[in-house]
Amino acid sequence: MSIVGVAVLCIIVSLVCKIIEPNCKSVSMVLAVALVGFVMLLAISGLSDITACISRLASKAQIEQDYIKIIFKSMGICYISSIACNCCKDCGENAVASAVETLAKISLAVLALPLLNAVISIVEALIYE
Amino acid sequence: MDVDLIFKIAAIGIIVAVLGQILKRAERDEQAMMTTLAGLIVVLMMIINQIAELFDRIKTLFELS
Repeated sequence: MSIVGVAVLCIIVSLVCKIIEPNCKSVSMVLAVALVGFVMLLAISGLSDITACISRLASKAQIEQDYIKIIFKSMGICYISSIACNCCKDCGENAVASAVETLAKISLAVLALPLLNAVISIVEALIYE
Repeated sequence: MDVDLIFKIAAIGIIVAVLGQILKRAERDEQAMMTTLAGLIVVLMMIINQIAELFDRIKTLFELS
Protein backbone atom coordinates (compact mmCIF):
# COMPACT_ATOMS: atom_id res chain seq x y z
CA MET A 1 0.00 0.00 0.00
CA SER A 2 1.39 3.42 -0.91
CA ILE A 3 1.96 6.21 1.54
CA VAL A 4 -1.03 8.08 0.08
CA GLY A 5 -3.34 5.15 0.79
CA VAL A 6 -2.07 4.81 4.32
CA ALA A 7 -2.42 8.55 4.94
CA VAL A 8 -6.02 8.60 3.73
CA LEU A 9 -6.79 5.46 5.74
CA CYS A 10 -5.34 7.00 8.91
CA ILE A 11 -7.41 10.19 8.50
CA ILE A 12 -10.63 8.27 7.91
CA VAL A 13 -10.11 5.81 10.75
CA SER A 14 -9.15 8.54 13.22
CA LEU A 15 -12.34 10.38 12.25
CA VAL A 16 -14.31 7.18 12.90
CA CYS A 17 -12.53 6.94 16.27
CA LYS A 18 -13.73 10.43 17.16
CA ILE A 19 -17.26 9.65 15.97
CA ILE A 20 -17.70 6.52 18.06
CA GLU A 21 -15.79 7.93 21.08
CA PRO A 22 -18.74 9.40 23.07
CA ASN A 23 -20.76 6.17 22.94
CA CYS A 24 -18.07 3.52 23.35
CA LYS A 25 -14.66 4.98 24.13
CA SER A 26 -13.07 1.55 24.61
CA VAL A 27 -13.73 0.31 21.08
CA SER A 28 -12.33 3.53 19.60
CA MET A 29 -9.13 3.11 21.62
CA VAL A 30 -8.77 -0.49 20.42
CA LEU A 31 -9.40 0.68 16.86
CA ALA A 32 -6.56 3.19 17.21
CA VAL A 33 -4.21 0.50 18.50
CA ALA A 34 -5.19 -1.79 15.61
CA LEU A 35 -4.44 0.95 13.10
CA VAL A 36 -1.05 1.62 14.70
CA GLY A 37 -0.26 -2.09 14.47
CA PHE A 38 -1.25 -2.24 10.84
CA VAL A 39 0.81 0.80 9.80
CA MET A 40 3.84 -0.43 11.75
CA LEU A 41 3.57 -3.81 10.04
CA LEU A 42 3.77 -2.00 6.71
CA ALA A 43 6.78 -0.02 7.93
CA ILE A 44 8.58 -3.10 9.27
CA SER A 45 8.20 -4.97 5.98
CA GLY A 46 10.47 -2.41 4.28
CA LEU A 47 13.07 -2.60 7.03
CA SER A 48 14.47 -6.08 6.42
CA ASP A 49 16.45 -5.16 3.31
CA ILE A 50 17.83 -2.05 5.07
CA THR A 51 19.25 -4.20 7.86
CA ALA A 52 20.67 -6.67 5.30
CA CYS A 53 22.41 -3.83 3.45
CA ILE A 54 23.82 -2.34 6.67
CA SER A 55 25.23 -5.66 7.86
CA ARG A 56 26.77 -6.29 4.40
CA LEU A 57 28.46 -2.85 4.45
CA ALA A 58 29.66 -3.47 8.00
CA SER A 59 31.22 -6.81 7.08
CA LYS A 60 32.96 -5.13 4.09
CA ALA A 61 34.36 -2.45 6.41
CA GLN A 62 35.65 -5.24 8.73
CA ILE A 63 33.54 -3.89 11.62
CA GLU A 64 32.96 -6.61 14.23
CA GLN A 65 29.61 -8.34 13.87
CA ASP A 66 28.58 -8.05 17.52
CA TYR A 67 28.79 -4.24 17.43
CA ILE A 68 26.31 -4.27 14.55
CA LYS A 69 24.13 -6.72 16.47
CA ILE A 70 24.08 -4.37 19.43
CA ILE A 71 22.99 -1.51 17.16
CA PHE A 72 20.19 -3.59 15.63
CA LYS A 73 19.02 -4.74 19.06
CA SER A 74 18.86 -1.18 20.34
CA MET A 75 16.89 -0.16 17.23
CA GLY A 76 14.43 -2.98 17.93
CA ILE A 77 14.08 -1.95 21.55
CA CYS A 78 13.47 1.66 20.51
CA TYR A 79 10.76 0.69 17.99
CA ILE A 80 8.90 -1.63 20.35
CA SER A 81 9.06 0.70 23.33
CA SER A 82 7.98 3.76 21.33
CA ILE A 83 4.96 1.88 19.93
CA ALA A 84 3.96 0.65 23.38
CA CYS A 85 4.61 3.98 25.07
CA ASN A 86 2.58 6.01 22.57
CA CYS A 87 -0.29 3.51 22.61
CA CYS A 88 -0.40 3.71 26.41
CA LYS A 89 -0.37 7.52 26.27
CA ASP A 90 -3.15 7.40 23.69
CA CYS A 91 -5.29 5.37 26.07
CA GLY A 92 -4.60 7.93 28.81
CA GLU A 93 -2.28 5.75 30.92
CA ASN A 94 0.72 8.09 31.32
CA ALA A 95 2.14 6.15 34.28
CA VAL A 96 2.27 2.93 32.28
CA ALA A 97 3.85 4.80 29.36
CA SER A 98 6.63 6.21 31.53
CA ALA A 99 7.21 2.76 33.04
CA VAL A 100 7.73 1.29 29.57
CA GLU A 101 10.01 4.18 28.68
CA THR A 102 12.13 3.67 31.81
CA LEU A 103 12.45 -0.04 31.09
CA ALA A 104 13.53 0.73 27.52
CA LYS A 105 16.21 3.19 28.69
CA ILE A 106 17.59 0.75 31.24
CA SER A 107 17.69 -2.16 28.79
CA LEU A 108 19.44 0.08 26.24
CA ALA A 109 22.04 1.06 28.85
CA VAL A 110 22.60 -2.57 29.76
CA LEU A 111 22.94 -3.38 26.05
CA ALA A 112 25.62 -0.71 25.58
CA LEU A 113 27.80 -1.85 28.52
CA PRO A 114 30.14 -4.09 26.47
CA LEU A 115 30.78 -1.22 24.07
CA LEU A 116 31.72 1.01 26.97
CA ASN A 117 34.05 -1.65 28.36
CA ALA A 118 35.72 -2.03 24.96
CA VAL A 119 36.36 1.71 24.70
CA ILE A 120 37.72 1.93 28.24
CA SER A 121 40.04 -1.01 27.75
CA ILE A 122 41.42 0.58 24.56
CA VAL A 123 42.00 3.88 26.35
CA GLU A 124 43.72 2.09 29.26
CA ALA A 125 45.96 0.25 26.83
CA LEU A 126 46.97 3.57 25.25
CA ILE A 127 47.63 5.30 28.57
CA TYR A 128 49.60 2.56 30.30
CA GLU A 129 51.85 1.66 27.35
CA MET B 1 -2.48 -8.56 7.87
CA ASP B 2 -4.71 -6.50 5.62
CA VAL B 3 -6.82 -3.41 5.52
CA ASP B 4 -10.24 -4.98 5.85
CA LEU B 5 -9.49 -5.96 9.46
CA ILE B 6 -9.32 -2.22 10.21
CA PHE B 7 -12.60 -1.64 8.37
CA LYS B 8 -14.24 -4.56 10.21
CA ILE B 9 -13.25 -3.10 13.56
CA ALA B 10 -14.49 0.35 12.51
CA ALA B 11 -17.81 -1.17 11.41
CA ILE B 12 -18.17 -3.03 14.73
CA GLY B 13 -17.42 0.21 16.58
CA ILE B 14 -20.08 2.14 14.68
CA ILE B 15 -22.68 -0.61 15.15
CA VAL B 16 -21.97 -0.87 18.88
CA ALA B 17 -22.16 2.90 19.23
CA VAL B 18 -25.53 3.09 17.44
CA LEU B 19 -26.91 0.11 19.36
CA GLY B 20 -25.77 1.61 22.64
CA GLN B 21 -27.48 4.88 21.83
CA ILE B 22 -30.74 3.14 20.86
CA LEU B 23 -30.76 0.96 23.97
CA LYS B 24 -30.05 4.01 26.18
CA ARG B 25 -33.02 5.85 24.64
CA ALA B 26 -35.17 2.78 25.42
CA GLU B 27 -34.04 2.97 29.09
CA ARG B 28 -32.17 -0.39 28.83
CA ASP B 29 -28.82 0.75 30.07
CA GLU B 30 -27.76 -2.76 31.12
CA GLN B 31 -28.19 -4.11 27.59
CA ALA B 32 -26.35 -1.07 26.22
CA MET B 33 -23.43 -1.74 28.53
CA MET B 34 -23.50 -5.45 27.66
CA THR B 35 -23.50 -4.65 23.94
CA THR B 36 -20.53 -2.34 24.32
CA LEU B 37 -18.70 -4.98 26.33
CA ALA B 38 -19.43 -7.68 23.74
CA GLY B 39 -18.25 -5.45 20.91
CA LEU B 40 -15.08 -4.65 22.83
CA ILE B 41 -14.29 -8.32 23.42
CA VAL B 42 -14.85 -9.22 19.77
CA VAL B 43 -12.56 -6.41 18.63
CA LEU B 44 -9.88 -7.32 21.18
CA MET B 45 -9.90 -10.94 20.01
CA MET B 46 -9.44 -9.75 16.44
CA ILE B 47 -6.42 -7.56 17.03
CA ILE B 48 -4.56 -9.78 19.52
CA ASN B 49 -3.06 -11.88 16.71
CA GLN B 50 -2.13 -8.81 14.69
CA ILE B 51 -0.23 -7.14 17.54
CA ALA B 52 1.49 -10.44 18.39
CA GLU B 53 2.56 -10.83 14.75
CA LEU B 54 3.91 -7.26 14.71
CA PHE B 55 6.07 -7.75 17.80
CA ASP B 56 7.23 -11.20 16.60
CA ARG B 57 8.34 -9.70 13.30
CA ILE B 58 10.26 -6.92 15.06
CA LYS B 59 11.85 -9.49 17.38
CA THR B 60 13.01 -11.73 14.57
CA LEU B 61 14.14 -8.82 12.39
CA PHE B 62 16.43 -7.33 15.05
CA GLU B 63 17.41 -10.70 16.65
CA LEU B 64 16.10 -9.33 19.94
CA SER B 65 15.43 -12.30 22.15
